[in-house]
Amino acid sequence: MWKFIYISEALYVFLILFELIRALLYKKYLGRKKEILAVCLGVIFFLGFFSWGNIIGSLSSDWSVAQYGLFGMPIFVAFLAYSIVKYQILDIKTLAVQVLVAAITILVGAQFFFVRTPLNRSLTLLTLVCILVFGYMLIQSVKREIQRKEELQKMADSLARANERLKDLDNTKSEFISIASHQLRTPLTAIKGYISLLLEGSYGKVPPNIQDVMNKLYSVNDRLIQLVEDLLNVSRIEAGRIQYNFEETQLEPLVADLIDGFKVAAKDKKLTLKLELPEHGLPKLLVDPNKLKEVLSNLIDNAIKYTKEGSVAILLQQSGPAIRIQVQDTGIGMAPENKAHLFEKFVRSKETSRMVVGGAGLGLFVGKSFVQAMGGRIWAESEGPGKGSTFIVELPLVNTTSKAGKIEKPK
Amino acid sequence: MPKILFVEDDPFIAEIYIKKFESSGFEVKNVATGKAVLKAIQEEDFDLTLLDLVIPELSGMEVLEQLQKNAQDYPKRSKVIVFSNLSSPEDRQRCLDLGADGFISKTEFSPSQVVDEVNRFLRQFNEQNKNHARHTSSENGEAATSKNKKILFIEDEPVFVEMFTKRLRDEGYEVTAKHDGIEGLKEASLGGYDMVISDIMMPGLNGKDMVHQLRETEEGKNVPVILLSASVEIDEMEELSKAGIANHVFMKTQITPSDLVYAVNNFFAAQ
Repeated sequence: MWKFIYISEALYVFLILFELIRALLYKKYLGRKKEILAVCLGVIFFLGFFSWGNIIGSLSSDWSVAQYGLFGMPIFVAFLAYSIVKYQILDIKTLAVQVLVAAITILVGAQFFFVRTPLNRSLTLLTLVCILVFGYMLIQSVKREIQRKEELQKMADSLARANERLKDLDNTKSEFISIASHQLRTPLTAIKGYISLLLEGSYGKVPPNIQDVMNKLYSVNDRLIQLVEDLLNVSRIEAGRIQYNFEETQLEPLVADLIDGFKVAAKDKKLTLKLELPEHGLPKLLVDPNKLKEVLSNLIDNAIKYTKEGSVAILLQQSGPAIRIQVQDTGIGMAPENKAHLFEKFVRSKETSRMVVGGAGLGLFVGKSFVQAMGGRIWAESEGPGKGSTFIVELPLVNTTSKAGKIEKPK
Repeated sequence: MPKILFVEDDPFIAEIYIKKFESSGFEVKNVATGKAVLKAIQEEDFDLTLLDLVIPELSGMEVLEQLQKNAQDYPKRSKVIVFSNLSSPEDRQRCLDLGADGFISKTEFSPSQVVDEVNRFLRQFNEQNKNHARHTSSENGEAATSKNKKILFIEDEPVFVEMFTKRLRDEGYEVTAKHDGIEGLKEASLGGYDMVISDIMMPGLNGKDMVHQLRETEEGKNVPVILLSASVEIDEMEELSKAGIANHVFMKTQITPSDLVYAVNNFFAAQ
C-alpha cells in the first residue's frame, strides 16, 4: 500500500517536472514561464518534502519524522500565493471549479474502495468517469468564459482610453481655436483700420469706384471679424466661460421686436412672415433676454434663408409648465438622420450646403448651449427633405437652475 | 442730429427703418416716389439720402441722372447712398457713374445694421471733407491745427502704432509711442502727458499691471487712460472702467482709428 503511494508520488513529481520542462521549451507559453516555474517548483517542493517524510518514516519505522512532511504545505502555499499576487496566475473562479471537481472526484473515487459488489463497482466507475468528463468540460467552459470576460475588459479599457484621447483632442482643438482667433484679430484689426483710413481720405482722395471696392472690402473684413468672434464664442462656451444676465422678461414684445428686423428680408424673398401670439398674455420668464434673442434670431434667419417660397411662422404658446417658441417654415426640411447632429459644432446638413454658402455651422450649437443654460431645451422636427422644418425652443415657467443677475454657467 | 432722406414706397418697410433710425437719434423724412425725392433734395438740407432704386414715377437711376444733369438746380444735394438689392456689377458701376456715393444692400443688412452702416458712411464723408481740407491747407504751407495735447501711445505691434498714431497726429495731437509696458511706464511716470493710450497684451509688463503701477506714481495718479485690447472679454473691460483704472476700454477689432480719435476728442471736449 505505501509503496503504491510512493510510486505514485514519484510519478507525479516526474509528471510535473516533465510539464515544467515542456512548458519552458514550448513557445506557446512564452511570457508565462515564470509563473509556471513558480507553481511547478512549489508543487515539487511540497511533494518532495511531504513524501520524503513518509518514506523516511516508513524506512526507519520512526513515524514521528513523517509529520515534518506537513511543513511542505506552507512552502507550497507560499509559492502559490506569490504566483497569484505576482502573476495573477490563477483566478479564483477556475480554482474554485477545479477544487469542486477534484473534491467530487475524490469522494466518488473513495466510494470505489468501499463498495464490494461488482455491479456497484461498475456503477461507481461509470459515475467517476462521467464526473471526470463533465468536470473537465465544466472547467474548460469556465476558463473560456473567463477568457472572454478578460477580452471584453481589455476592449472596454482600450475604448475608455480612446475616449479620453478624443476628449483631449477636443480640448486641444478648442484651445487651438482660441489662440488662433486671438492671433487672427491683429491683422484683421489692421485691415479694418487701414481701409477706414483710406476711405476717409487720410492718404489722399480716393476715386468713387475704388471707394466702392474698399467699402466692400471693409464689410467682408467685418464679416471675417464676426466669424472669428463666433469661433471664440464656441471655445468660450466649451470652457464654460460664458456669462449670463438673467432678467424677468416678457417674451411677446421681445419676439415681435425681433421679427421686425426680418420683415424686409422676408418680403424680399416673397415669404409671409407671421407671428402668432396666445390669446392670454404669457407670464414673465427668468431668462437672459440678449442670449434668447440671439438664439431666436438665428432660428428665424435660418428659416428665411432655407425657405424658397411659402411662409415662416413664429408661434408662442404655453404648454404645461413651459413656454414654447416655435419657428416653423415651409423650406428645405431635413432628413431624419440629420436631425440628431444638427445641434453639434460645425454641422451643416447636405441640404443647407447646397443652397447657401455662408455660415460656419455654429449657430445651432451656440443656441443649444444658451437654451440649456436657461433651463430649457431646443429641438427640430421635420417630415423630411423638402417638407419644411420646425425648430422648437421650450423654456420652463419656473427656472430652477438660475436666479436673476449675472452668473457664470459651467457647460 | 443727423437728418436723412429715406426713399421707400412700402409703408410697412419704411416704418420699420424709420423706427430704427429715430431710436438711434436720426431725423428721418420718408418719401415714396422719384419726383418727391428730387423735390425734397431741392428744398431741404439732408446729411444723407438713402435711395431705393425701384420706386414709382422716376426710378432711382433716373433720380441720380437728374441730380447729375441738373446739378445747378440742386445746390443742397446731400450724399446719396443707393439702398437696394444691386447684384450686377454693371448696375453698380452705372450708379457710381451717375454720382452715387455708396451702396448698402437691403438683403445683406438687418435694419439695425443698416443704421450702423449709415453712421459709418456719415463719418466717412465727414472725415473725407476734413482730410480734404487738411490736405489742401498743408499744400498751402499751413500745419494742421495743433490741439496742444500730448498723448503717450503704448503698443507692441508696430502696425497698430503706425495706424493709430497717424490718425491721432492727423487730428493734431502730439503723440509719443513706446513699444512695451516697462518703457511705457517709465515714460508715463515722467509726466507731462494729457492722456495715456495703451495696449493690454504686451510682453514684459501688460497694460493692466502697467496702469496699476502708474497709478502709484505722483505723475501718473490722475492721467486719463484709454486701454485697447484685441482679446479682453467684455466683462473684464467693464470691470476695468468701473474700477477707475481706465477711462475707456476698447476692443481693437470693434473700432477704427477714427473711432479712437472721436473718443479722445470727446474726452477732452468734456473736460
